[in-house]
Amino acid sequence: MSLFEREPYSVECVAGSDVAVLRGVMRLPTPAAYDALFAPARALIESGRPSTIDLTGVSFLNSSGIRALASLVLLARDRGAPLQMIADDGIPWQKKTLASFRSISPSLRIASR
Amino acid sequence: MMTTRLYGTLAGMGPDSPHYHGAEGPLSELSLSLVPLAIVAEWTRCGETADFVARYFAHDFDDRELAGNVLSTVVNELLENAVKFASDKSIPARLTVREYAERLCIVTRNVAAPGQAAAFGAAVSRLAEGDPEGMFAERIASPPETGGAGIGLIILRKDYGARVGVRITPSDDGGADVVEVEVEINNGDIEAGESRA
Repeated sequence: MSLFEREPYSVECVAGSDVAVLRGVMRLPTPAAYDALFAPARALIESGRPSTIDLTGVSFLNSSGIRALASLVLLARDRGAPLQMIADDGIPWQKKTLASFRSISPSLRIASR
Repeated sequence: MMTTRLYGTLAGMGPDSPHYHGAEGPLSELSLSLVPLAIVAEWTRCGETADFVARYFAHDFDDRELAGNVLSTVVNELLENAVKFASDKSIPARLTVREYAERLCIVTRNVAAPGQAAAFGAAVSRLAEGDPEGMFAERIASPPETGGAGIGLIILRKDYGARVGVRITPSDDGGADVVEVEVEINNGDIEAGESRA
């Protein structure tokens, strides 16, 4: 990797799939800056189908990103849409922060890999 | 001379402490001065700085990957706070990390508008005394209060057992306050990747 090559980040949601896959180092400056990035996951939840957000490829997520991710959890809760998150317990932020999401949405399912 | 106000939990082990140069002093220290405007102009500088600082100190931990991940997370949050909170983004902010035998202390220093600084100090006091899990839930379920302690500090306290304190020094001429945020984390919690409390 060159000195100035940026750590990529992405959200992929293949058409017809119920899984949004998040990858990379996510450190955008504000929660609003995540709106466009998280749009595929938001659309998936808004469809009302049971959806999954795979976070195992996200090594860092700053607090703005955690707030943005929480807004997806709240959206699913308010719409009654089943939501599952797949986490990697070896990544420190995922292990504790995701568990805390259950306090705002007890129906949230968290699967560990 | 205006009186410095203290909020939350402060170890008080900086260069002004009588213990600083003794056996209880830091084993290692790194200090950087950064102009907030430069980070606002190129936001990736914040994460890159956090990664550099994290790698620098992670060498002293058995599990460098895990410690580096935790340290980068913590330093990035504090640096983001200092940059966003700075009332004059052309005045350099300072980031200092001190490593002790059993803990790491991270201090940021920036200028802030007096009213905003006081509200921030009060919020940090609540964070030091309150239930961080409940504060986290409350914070993400409702819009942020102006000048309150950000969710980043709540996460550092909740997930990594960080002790958080703030030192606010008003200027003599009624201008911007100087705000120092001090976060202390046990080395054992850094190596575990979470608070073991």
